[in-house]
Amino acid sequence: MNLTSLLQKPHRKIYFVGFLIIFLSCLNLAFIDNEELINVYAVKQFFWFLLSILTSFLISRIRLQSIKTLAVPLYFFSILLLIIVLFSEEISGARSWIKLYGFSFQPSELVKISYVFMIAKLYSDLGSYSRSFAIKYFLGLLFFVIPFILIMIQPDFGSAFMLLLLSMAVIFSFSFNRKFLFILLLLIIVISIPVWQSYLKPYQKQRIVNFINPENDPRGYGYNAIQSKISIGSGSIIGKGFGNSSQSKFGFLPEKHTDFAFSVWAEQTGFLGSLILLSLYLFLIIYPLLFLSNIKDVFLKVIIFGISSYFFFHFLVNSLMTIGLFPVVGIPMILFSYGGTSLLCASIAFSVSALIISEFRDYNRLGV
Amino acid sequence: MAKSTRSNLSILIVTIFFLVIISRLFYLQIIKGEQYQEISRKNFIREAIIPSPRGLILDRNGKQIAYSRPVVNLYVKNANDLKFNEIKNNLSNYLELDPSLKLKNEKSYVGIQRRLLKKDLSIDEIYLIEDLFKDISNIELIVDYIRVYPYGESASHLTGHLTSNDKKDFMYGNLFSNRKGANGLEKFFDKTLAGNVGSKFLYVDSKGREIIGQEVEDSRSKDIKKGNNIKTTIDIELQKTIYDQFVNFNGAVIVSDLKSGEILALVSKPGFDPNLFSQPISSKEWNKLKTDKSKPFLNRAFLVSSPPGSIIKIITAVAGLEEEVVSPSTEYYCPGYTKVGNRNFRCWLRGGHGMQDVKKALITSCDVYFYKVGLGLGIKKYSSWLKKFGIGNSHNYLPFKQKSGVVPDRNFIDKYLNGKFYSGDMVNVAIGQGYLTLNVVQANKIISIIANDGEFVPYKLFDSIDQSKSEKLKIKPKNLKVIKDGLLGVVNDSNGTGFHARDDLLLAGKTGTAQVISKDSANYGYGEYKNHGWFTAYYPFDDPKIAITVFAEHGDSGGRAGGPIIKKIVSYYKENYGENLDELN
Repeated sequence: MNLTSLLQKPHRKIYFVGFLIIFLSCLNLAFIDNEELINVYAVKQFFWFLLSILTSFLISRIRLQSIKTLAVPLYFFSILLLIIVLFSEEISGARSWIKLYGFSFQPSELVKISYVFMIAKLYSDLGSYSRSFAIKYFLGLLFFVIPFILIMIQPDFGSAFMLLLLSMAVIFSFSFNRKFLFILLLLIIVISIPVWQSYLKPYQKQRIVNFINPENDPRGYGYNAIQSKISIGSGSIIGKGFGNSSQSKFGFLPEKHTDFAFSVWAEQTGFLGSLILLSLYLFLIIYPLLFLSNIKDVFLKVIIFGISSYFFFHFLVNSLMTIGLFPVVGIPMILFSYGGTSLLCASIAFSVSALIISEFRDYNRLGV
Repeated sequence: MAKSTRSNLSILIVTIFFLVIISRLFYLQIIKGEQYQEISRKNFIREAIIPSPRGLILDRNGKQIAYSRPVVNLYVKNANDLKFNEIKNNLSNYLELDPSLKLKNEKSYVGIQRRLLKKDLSIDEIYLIEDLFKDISNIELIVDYIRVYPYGESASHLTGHLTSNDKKDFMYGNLFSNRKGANGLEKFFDKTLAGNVGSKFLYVDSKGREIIGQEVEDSRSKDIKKGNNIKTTIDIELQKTIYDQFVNFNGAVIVSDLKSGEILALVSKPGFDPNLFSQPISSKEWNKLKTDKSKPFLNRAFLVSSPPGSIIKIITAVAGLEEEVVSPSTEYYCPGYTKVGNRNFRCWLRGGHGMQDVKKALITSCDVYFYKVGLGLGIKKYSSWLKKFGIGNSHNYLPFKQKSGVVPDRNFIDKYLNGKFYSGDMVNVAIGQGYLTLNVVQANKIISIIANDGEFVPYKLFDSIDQSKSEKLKIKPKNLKVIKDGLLGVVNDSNGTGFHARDDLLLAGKTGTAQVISKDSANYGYGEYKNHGWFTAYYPFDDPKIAITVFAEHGDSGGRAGGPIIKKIVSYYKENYGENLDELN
C-alpha cells in the first residue's frame, strides 16, 4: 500500500497533514539550541507526538453520537478544571497549570475545544424549535463569558483573547443577524473614540503606539518583535539550514520554543520552508470547510466550523505576531510550538474533524 | 446567511489572510532578506580590535624620542560573577592584582564579556600564568601598547602627547593603542604614526559571551599594520642638555643648522611629562598641570612673543647702513643719554660710551647710538626692514601654533595708536622696546640671515618633500662685514656684553634685555617684573654652521642668563659635530 492510495480517503489526508506538522515541529525543536541534536524540548515534543497519535486512534474508534453525549459533561469538566487551576501554584505571575504526577496540564487549552462542542450541542438542540437569535446570542455568550472570566482571573490574556475570537466566530456564523452585528460594531467605535481622546493619558497612548510600532522601543517591549523579524527575514529564500539558526542558538530570539517557533522555522528553512508549512495549515483549515454545505446536521456543522476556526485563529494570531503585523501576545503556534496540552487538544480537534468527515458517507460524490 | 455561502465566505476570509501572510513573508524574506541577514550577522558576530603599535618618533641619530612599549594585560572571559570571583581569588594567591579593579566596577562591564584583571604583567608573571593556568580557557592574555617618551619633559612640546579619552573596544574595553595624537608631532603625524589596528570577529551570544570553538571567517578581519616611523632633525641629547641648563628661569631655545635649516633643538621650559597621558591621567595630576602658574603646556618657542631688547639692534644697524642713514665710519657721541623732544632717553650705561661707530655700538650695545639711527630712519623704513627679516610672519610650514609678533607699521599705528607715532616711540622701538615683539624662532632667523650673508634656509624639522625655497636678503658685503665684526666683538671684545659665552673666540652674537616694566617703576627688576633675557648667536665665525637663540623668561640679563647656555650648546656641538663639521652638510 503506497502513500497515494493510503491518502485517498479524505479523513486520512487530515490525519496526515496534522501529524506532519507535529513531526516538523519536532524537527524544528531539535535544532533550536546550541547543543547536540537531542535536547529536552525535542524529546518531550516527540513524546507528545506519539501520545497524540494514540489519542487520534482512540478518537477514530468513537461513534459520533457519543461525542454529542459527551459535549455537556466535557464542558462542565473544563469549567471545573478552570476553577481548580486558580488554586494552583503561581508560575511567572499566573495560575495556569495543574500539576499531576510530574505532568503539567493547561485547562484553558481544553476549554476552547469543549466550548465548541457545547455550542454545537446547544445550537443543534435549539435549532429544531427556536429560531430566536436573541436566545442563541444569550446562551452562546453565557457559555463563553464563564470560562472567559475564569481565564482572565489566572490571568492568561492570550488564551482569553483566543476564546473570544473563537466564540465570536461561532456565534455570529450560526446566528447571523446583520442588524445585531452593525449595532455591536457601532457601539465599539462610539465608545473607543472618546476613550482614546480624553480618558487616556499621554503615556498610555504611547504604550498603545509602541504596541503597534515596536521600533519605538527596540530594547524593551519591541525587542521580541524585532528579533523575530530578523529571524524570519534572515532566513531569506532557502533558509540558513537546520541547526544554523543563529538568532535562536545564540539566544537573541526569546521564547523560541513556544511563541516564536515559527520564526525559527522560517529562519532555518527560508521562504520555501515557510510556504510548505503555510500550505499544510491552509489545508488543515480549509479542507474540512469544503464538506460544510453537504453536512445537514447542525451539531456536526458547528463542530467542523468551530475546529477550523480554532486552528485558523491560533495560526493567524501567532503568524501575524511573528511577522510583526500584530502585537506580541503570548499565543503559541498551534501544533507547531512546544507544549503538551496544546498539542494534545489540537490533535483531538483535527481527529474529531477527520472522524466527522470519515463518517460522512457520500464524500466520493463531492469530488474531493 | 445562506447556508451554502457560509463555507465559501469562510474560505475566502481564510485565503485572504493567508495571502497577507505570504506577501509579508515575501517582503521580509525575499525583498528585505539580504538586509535582515546583515542585521542578523551583526547580532552574533562582533568585531574585536587587535592592538597595533604606533610608529617611532626618532631623532636625527635614530634615537627614540617616542616609542610604543608592549604591555601584556590579563583578562577573564566568559565567566559569570561566581566564576570570575573564583578565578580572581585563585590568581590573587600568585600575583598582586590591581587594587583599582574592585567589584564596584562590575556594573560597567555589562555587555562586555571580558574583564580586565591586571594590566602590564611582568615577564615573571606571564611565565607564571602560562605555567599554572594554561588549561583554564577563561584566562586570556592580550598585548596592548603603551606610549613611552624616554626624554619626558625635555621634548614634550615637540612630541605632544596622546588623547586621554579612549575608544572602547567591544571585547577588551579600553585599549591604550587606540589613543590618538592630541598635539605636537603626535597629532601632526597621527595618520602616519598610528598605522592600523587589526580586527578579528567572534561569535557571541545575546549576553555577549564568546562562543568558543567556532572560528569566524569574515572578509572584514584584518591583520595589524604597524605605524610608520617619523625621523626628525632634532638631536635629542642636545635637546635634553639644553633643557637641563634651565634651572632658575623658564624660556625657550632654538638651535638650527644654517646650511640646511634643520632644527637641532627646540626647547620650551617648563615642559610636562607626556607619559602621563599614555595612561588614564589622575585628576590630581591633571589639576596640578592645569593650574600650574608657570604654564607647562605653553610652547614658549612659538607662543611667547616679547620685546626683543637689544638683539634688534642688528636690524637697526643693517637698516641704518643700507638706507645710508649712517656709514660704517659715522660716529656719535654718547654722554649716557639723549634728548628727544623735551624728554631725556637714557643709555643703559649711566656714564655713557663716549664716541661710538656702528661696530663699537653693537659691541657695547650703546642705546644712544641706535636712538639716533632710529630717528634717522623713521618708522616707515624701519618697519619695512623688520618685515624683511621675517618679523610679523609665522613659520607656518612648521606644525605648531605660532604667534607672529608685532611690527609697528602703518597699519598697526593707524589701528592702535590713532595714527600717531612719536619720536619717543621711534627711539624705543629702535632698541627693541615698546610695541615691537617677536618669538625665539623669529629672533633666530635674524641671526641666521646675518650669518648666511643674507640667505635664509627655511627651518626643517623632518624630511619633507616640498621644502620651501630659501630666501635671500640683499645686504651690501661691506655692511655685512661691519655687522659681523661687531657681533664677534659682542662675545669676544673686552667690553662686549656677551662675554659670558666667550670660549674659543669663534662665537658671534648679540645680547638683549627686554624690560617688562618701566625702569622707573618701584617693582623694576623683581620677580615677575624681572627683565627677559635674549641671546642670539652663530658659530663658528669664519664658516657659520649653526644659529642659536635663547630666550630667558625673567632671566634678568641676556648675557648672564643666555651666555652659559650658549656656551654649553657650542661645546656640545664641537664635541659631537666638531671633527666632521664638513660631513654634516
